[in-house]
Amino acid sequence: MNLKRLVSLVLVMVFCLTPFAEAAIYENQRVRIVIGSTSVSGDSYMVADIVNRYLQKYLNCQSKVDPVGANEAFATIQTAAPDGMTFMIFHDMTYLGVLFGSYSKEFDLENMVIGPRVGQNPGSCFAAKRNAPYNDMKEMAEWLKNNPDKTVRLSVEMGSVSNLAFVIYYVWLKDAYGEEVANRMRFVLGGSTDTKLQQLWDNNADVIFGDYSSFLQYTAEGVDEQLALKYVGLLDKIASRPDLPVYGDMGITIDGKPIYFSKDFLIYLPKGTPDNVVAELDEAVAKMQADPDFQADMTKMTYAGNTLQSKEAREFIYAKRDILKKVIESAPNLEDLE
Amino acid sequence: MDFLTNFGLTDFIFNSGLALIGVAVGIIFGAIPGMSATMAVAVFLPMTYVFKEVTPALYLLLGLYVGGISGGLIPAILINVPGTPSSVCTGFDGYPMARRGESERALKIGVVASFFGGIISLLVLAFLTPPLARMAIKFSAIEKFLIILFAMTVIAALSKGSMTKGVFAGFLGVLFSLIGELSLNNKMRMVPDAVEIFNYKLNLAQDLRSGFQLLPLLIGLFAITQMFQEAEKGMLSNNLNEGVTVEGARKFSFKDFAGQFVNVVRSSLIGTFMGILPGVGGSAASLIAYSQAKSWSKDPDKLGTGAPEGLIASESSNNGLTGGALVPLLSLGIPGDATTAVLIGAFMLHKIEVGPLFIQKYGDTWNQILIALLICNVIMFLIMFFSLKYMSNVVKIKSSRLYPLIMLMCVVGAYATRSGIMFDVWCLLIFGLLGYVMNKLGLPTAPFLIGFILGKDLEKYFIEAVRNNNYNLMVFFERPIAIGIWVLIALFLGYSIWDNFKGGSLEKAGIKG
Amino acid sequence: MQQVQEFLRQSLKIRNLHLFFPKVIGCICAILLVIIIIQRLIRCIRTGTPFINLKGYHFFDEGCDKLKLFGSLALTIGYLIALPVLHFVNASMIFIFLFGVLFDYNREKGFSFMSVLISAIIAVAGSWLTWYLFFQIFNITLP
Repeated sequence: MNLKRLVSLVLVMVFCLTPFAEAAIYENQRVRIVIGSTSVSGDSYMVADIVNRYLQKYLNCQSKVDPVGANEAFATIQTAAPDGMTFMIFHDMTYLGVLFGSYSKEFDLENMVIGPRVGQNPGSCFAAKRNAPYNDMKEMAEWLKNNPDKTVRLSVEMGSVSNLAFVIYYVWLKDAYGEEVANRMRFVLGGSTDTKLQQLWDNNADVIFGDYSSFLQYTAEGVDEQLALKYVGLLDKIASRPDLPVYGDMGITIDGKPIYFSKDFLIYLPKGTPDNVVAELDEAVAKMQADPDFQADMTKMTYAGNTLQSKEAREFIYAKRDILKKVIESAPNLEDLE
Repeated sequence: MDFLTNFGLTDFIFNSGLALIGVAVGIIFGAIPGMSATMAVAVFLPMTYVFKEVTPALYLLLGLYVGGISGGLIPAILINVPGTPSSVCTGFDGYPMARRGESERALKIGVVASFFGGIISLLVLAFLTPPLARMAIKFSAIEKFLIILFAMTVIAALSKGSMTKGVFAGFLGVLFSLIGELSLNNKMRMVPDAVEIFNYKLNLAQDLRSGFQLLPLLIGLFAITQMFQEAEKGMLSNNLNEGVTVEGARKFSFKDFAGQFVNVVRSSLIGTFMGILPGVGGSAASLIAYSQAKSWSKDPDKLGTGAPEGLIASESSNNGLTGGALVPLLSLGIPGDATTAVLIGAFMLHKIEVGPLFIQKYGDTWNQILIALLICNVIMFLIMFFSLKYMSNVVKIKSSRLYPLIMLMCVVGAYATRSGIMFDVWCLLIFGLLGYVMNKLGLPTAPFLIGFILGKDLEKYFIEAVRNNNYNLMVFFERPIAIGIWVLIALFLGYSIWDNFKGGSLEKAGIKG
Repeated sequence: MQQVQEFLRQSLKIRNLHLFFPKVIGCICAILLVIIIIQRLIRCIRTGTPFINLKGYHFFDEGCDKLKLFGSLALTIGYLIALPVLHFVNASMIFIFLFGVLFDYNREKGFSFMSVLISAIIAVAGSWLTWYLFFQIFNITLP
């Protein structure tokens, strides 16, 4: 630990002494990008992979995405040298884990340097079997109200975005339709997307949470009735699919305001990273934003290439966290709903 | 030239070249303890972006998959360290053969068995994918729990003569696999809080949150434990039995496969079937195949002492996995094992949806996958079969020269397990020491490993089955498939216990006499 | 059966879901341990040997090479500590060399120049080749 401090001190001194060496910090360096997922087919990896290719181009460095998992990625950002050569690209789980209490305060946003936003994924959604008696989550609420003997089981993971989506819906359901209806919406503990799909096919869940693109093929025409799905609630609008039901459009609200939630992918750096490193990342991200190929790559995967410079990204993510903090604090814990 | 391009021959040659590279590199990854086929595919995944189409990427990645699974037999036979988790059973018979000087024979038997396994599973993939996929989703958490229980029965077969100790070691392994966080409720169990030793804050809660990783544990338990044991003996010789030379040993001939037809087919199909079931790991395949080989064998006592039968069972089943694991991936969109889970990434990068409509919609890619698998298996066979003669000489290397290099490889493998976590390297030492102490106490390490491999899934499916069925334990006895598996478990356990008792009394008689 | 169902319902509540399986497996382990002890006890009574026989018991093998055993343990620990500090190539060159020297040390003949030289060649070549292959070609993260 002491050695690391010493190294970082020396590095900071070097940076202070070389004010003229601007915009060349990353040139020909090896950069390690950790992500908070171990899967290489999820959105975390896909976004990081696209961004990585453009950062290589604009920073002129050799970088590599390491899918180490959430806990390991957070720990890496806490212990890595703050020279910008190791950073994390991850979505809202970065602070949601702390808000839900599944990660310690040590990993709070305040203990990291927040870099630019590199992209968004609006595709978090709930899907149900195609033959379900409701077409969206508003109809689902009506259906629950009209059928007092029926229940609905939603498959979610504790402490994740799906947990958030569940409690937002629960609170809204309770306010709009009363506690009795809300309590007939149960939850099932899910896992990875394929576990949830099997829960659905096995009739152990009625509605499952996942990513728009991973459910897409099951919504197509011609899929076996047993496997077929339909989208019943997206958390945000997808530009190319205006036909799908979205939380905010259905009247689901937080504090009376309709909610639209995209996963925001930001660069997070170790505490103490000098400003000129972040500035160089900002510059590269600005170039990336203007690159039509980058925009095309992101749109192809139904992600959005809306980047933000680090200063705005920081204000943005803090504000977003404050809103969601209130939601989570006022919402019931899944443990108490069982 | 027009003629060539029209028939896609240049493409075909180019793709086969990629398959060759894939298989060769895959074999290296498989052969290095601690590196697996999954890792090989994950490492090469981002590089496949340079191809504009998905087909060349698939040739490369499937080559890595086939090569990686097959390469695992090399260290299992030569140095008794399974190169991949699915080759755990290969060493049970392969290593004793190598010690008798028959390393080349053992390797060749393994490669031929692998080839058969790969081809049989390919046939299943090509002709039976849609019906098998429909069958696979009939297996719920209940059946999966029982299949994993069934795989655990191999422990009983392995620990003949000291069954209680073997079973104890197995459950200890299960207990170790549970250490860390249960992802279902994000809570930790069996992990001490942070402690301070010599001003150094040891934050186990941080390191152990995701539990011990399989690959570091595996190589710690086998390679590092062996290094300590050899060091204790003075590192004087090589791995051969005393007085044995490689030159004088029995040579490989295809006659070794005489009478093994049923074994090859049965084991390959077990492997393929385990691959088809999503969420039942690949290692379960070779475990079940091995225990089945033992219970159907005419000479069950020979298994574990260097019988080709066990080697064949293990190797044909783990290559049988390759085709099988692609069945649910390409027809349901659900990966059959860890490596195919990584393959999804390749399809996604090229914007191809693998799922219920894949075969209809991407018929061309589907055909290419079948051709690629066939070519990869042939290349794997050719590379391995004709280079094994040289590899088999590893057994002649002096221990004092071999173990420093094994140490080096283990460190690389452990560190790469989760792309760069130092704690995984420390696990080498932890489990190296644990294995050493267990051996001193007469506790076998193979059952411990098997328990560890299967433990987490055992818990996951138990919780899922019971919670989703109104907490009624009777669900385990109600569905027809479940009852079938219970019958298999009972038959096999009964046989093992009877065999153990018989063996035990013979042993005693021998001592008294 | 009803009671079992109720018991499971309570034990498998989300709040303490993580504790159920470890407890069950822990109990099984404890029972098996008791059986092992009883089995040993029965065998000891039958053959008339004492249950704990420390006389003639030794944890280490007869003729145990303590230098190499504890040396390899110490070198392993040293290697792992050195890895993050010195990084892969340097740490490996030093420690793989030391492993080689230790393991090839012959009690009767002592050190021989050739043996040490071979150890050095293996260490340097092995470390660089591994680093080149995995770090440079395969782009795998190394310490």
